[in-house]
Parts: sequence; C-alpha cells; structure tokens
Amino acid sequence: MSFDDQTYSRIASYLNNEMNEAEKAAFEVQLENDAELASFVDTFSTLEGVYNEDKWTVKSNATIAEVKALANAFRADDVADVSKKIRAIQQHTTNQETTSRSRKSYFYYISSAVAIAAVCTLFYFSFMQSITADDAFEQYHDWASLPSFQTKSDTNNNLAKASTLFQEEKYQEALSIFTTYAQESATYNPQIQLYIGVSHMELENYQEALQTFNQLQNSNTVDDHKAYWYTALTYLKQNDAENAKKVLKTLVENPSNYNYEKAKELLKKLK
Amino acid sequence: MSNDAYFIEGLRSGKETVLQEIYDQFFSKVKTFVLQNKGTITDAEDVFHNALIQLYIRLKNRQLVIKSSFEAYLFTTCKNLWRRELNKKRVTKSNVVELEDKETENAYALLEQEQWELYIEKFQLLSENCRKVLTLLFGGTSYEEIVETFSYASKVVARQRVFKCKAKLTKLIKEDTKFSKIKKL
Repeated sequence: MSFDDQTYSRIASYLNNEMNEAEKAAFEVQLENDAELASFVDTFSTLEGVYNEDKWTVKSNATIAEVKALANAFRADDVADVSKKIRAIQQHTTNQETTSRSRKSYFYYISSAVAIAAVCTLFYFSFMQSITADDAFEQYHDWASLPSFQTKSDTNNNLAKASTLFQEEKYQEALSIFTTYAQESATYNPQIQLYIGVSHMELENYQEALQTFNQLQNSNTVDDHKAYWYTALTYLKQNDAENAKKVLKTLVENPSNYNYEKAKELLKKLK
Repeated sequence: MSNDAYFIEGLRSGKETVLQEIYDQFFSKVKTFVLQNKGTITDAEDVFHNALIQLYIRLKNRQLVIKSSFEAYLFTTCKNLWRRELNKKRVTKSNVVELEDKETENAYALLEQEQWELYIEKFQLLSENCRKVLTLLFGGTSYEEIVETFSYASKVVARQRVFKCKAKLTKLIKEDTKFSKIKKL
C-alpha cells in the first residue's frame, strides 16, 4: 500500500483542513470509492488519540461478532474462578487494613490529645509571661521572611549575591552592594530598603536604620506599612521597650498592616 | 524459572498463592496511580482485578507473549483500563452510550489494549528522528517549538516532516497482519 506524492499532499491538506469546499467534496468522493485510501485516512487520524496521553482514546477495529465471542470467553468457568480468587485476596487484604487502621487511629487520637495539651500549656506560659525588649527582639526578628531576589539579569545577580552575604550575616558587605544598587537605580525599591535598614540594624547603626525605615514609611509604596514592624524591632534591639510600644500601637491601628497579629501579641507581652 | 515466568505461569494456571504474591507486590503502585487520577481505592481494586482477568484470557486464548517484565505489562494494562474508565465518564455526559454488560465491556477493553500495544510496537520501528518529532508533537509541543528544536527552516517544513512521519507510522500499522485481520473481520 502506497500512494503517489500528489495523493499524500492531498491527504495532508484534507486532514489539516486546508482544502476549499470544492476540493474537500472531491476528495470525499474519492474516499468513498477508494477503500484503501479511506482506511489510510481513517487510521492516520487515530494516531493522535493513541499516542497523545491527554486525548487518549483507543478504538478497536473488531467486529461485533468478535466482541461477542470474546465476551463469552470472559464468561467461562475458569475465568469466574480466577476472578473469585482475586476478589477474595482483595477482600482479605482490605479487612486487614481496616483493623490495623482502627488500631492506628486509637493510638493517633491519644498521641494527638497529648500533643495538643502540651502545646496549650506551652502557649499559656509563653503568653502569660511578659518579656523584656531584648527577649522580644530575639523571639520576633525573622530575617528569613525578607523578600528574596530572583537571579536573571546581571544586576539581579548582584542582588542575589548581596542577599547571600546577608544570610551569611556579612552585613557590612551586603549593605554596600544594596546601597550602591539603590543609589544607581532610578526607582525607589522598598524591598531593597528593607535589607538596607535591617543591615544597619544588625550593624548597630540605629540612626541609619531608623532613618531608612522612616523613609520607607513615607514612601507611599505597597510595602510602606512594613516600616512600622521593622522600626519597632530596631527599638527592641536597643532595649527601648517604650518607643517600640509606641510604634507597635500605631501598627495595630490598622489590621492590614504587616505582622498585625504578631504586633498585638507582642504588645501584650512587653513589660 | 525467572520471577516473570513464575508470575506468568502462576496467573495462567490461576494459582492462588501466586495471585496473592502478585497482589502483594504490584497492587500498591496501581493504587497510587488510580488515586492520583481521580479514582478511589475501590476503583483501583476493580482495575487491578480486571487487568489480571484480561491478562489471564490473553495468556490462555490469545497467544500473548510478554516481552517486557510482568510488572510493566500489568501496570500498563491497569493504566489503560483506568484511562478507559475516565474516558467513559467523560463521554457518557455528552453522548448516548449503549449499556454493555460487564463481559462485553471487558472484551472491548481487551481489544483496545491489543490495539494500543500494536500502535506502540509500530512506533518503535520509526526512525529515531521521526520518533523524536512525534513524541514532542503528541506531548503537546507546538510547531514553533518543534521548528526551533530541530532547526527546521519553517513551520511548513515542520508540518511536512510530521506528516511524513505520521504517514510512515500509519503504513506500518496498517501493514501488520494483526491489524488487517481485525479490520477485515
């Protein structure tokens, strides 16, 4: 079975829907009269359904008679016998699983009850105990929540490098890259300002830190409200609970502010 | 006797201990597949059961020769049975589907599995280049990407190449006696 090039090209345009009405009609007449061609086109168009996992539709060519004969084979006694054996194995295994599952769940309930009790106790004590500003800083500062930079272009690579330095607590080196970047960049980038502020804080340049966060607070950017939280942390790090509280009180005036829940919690705990 | 031969012979003779071993060793993978594809444990049990019955009949009545491992064979059978079920669920919503009894359904599933295997077998006979192009195409890759991957001059060239490969594949399938036998019955 083979067709000439011209026929192949007609088959292609027919299947790609590239024929005009007249060509299409003519080709369909040809299909009706040429069983070989029809069967080729038919088989050709089944390929997608078989090999494309998403469209997966396999159709058999078998006649009704063959299907019926085969169905009878499925009705044979020996098949019923094998079927019964498989079902018995499945039934047995399912039963076993259910028993072990219920035993497991009993243990599970007890252990979760114990765990819940432990967490509650812990929470109760940590909640009730008031803490100093120093402790508060230790507990609440979490630099991992700072934004991360994706590495695509060269400039961003610099940022990635700086945030790596930051993570390695090489704040001075990180700070100089961030500052250079911020100075060279035409727009104000609140995320970089956060890094600059926190680096200053870690280097104990508190004035610079406060100044950076103050600018951020007035920057009218999406992240400006984060400035409250980091300003509060800056005070806590200096063991200045009074000023930290003042800032936190401003923060909790608006529930959409960054770390609103944490700030509420912290306000209750601070001495 | 190799492990595969052991399982195959055990299934062919319906030996209970071997069936148990087959279940213990291979069911969990099938279960995972069905559960990950919108099925329940009961669906997985049914699929596994029907696959074993199908293989049993093919071994006894249809000269099935398992070339790959028994496990691979059993798993693809299960996978196809489950895809078939999912299709049925999809189709029944729009089309009117004749209700078949269980055995007729099983017969169709078996024939479709054989058809599927024939297609897969023929695909392996294509040139390496055709296999690569068609694998990308059937995997949903766009013609633009195919042009790029194979450095074709244009989309037209890529389309021509795809057509040639598909035509070759169609020819291979149609020339197989198993295919024409079923077709002319």
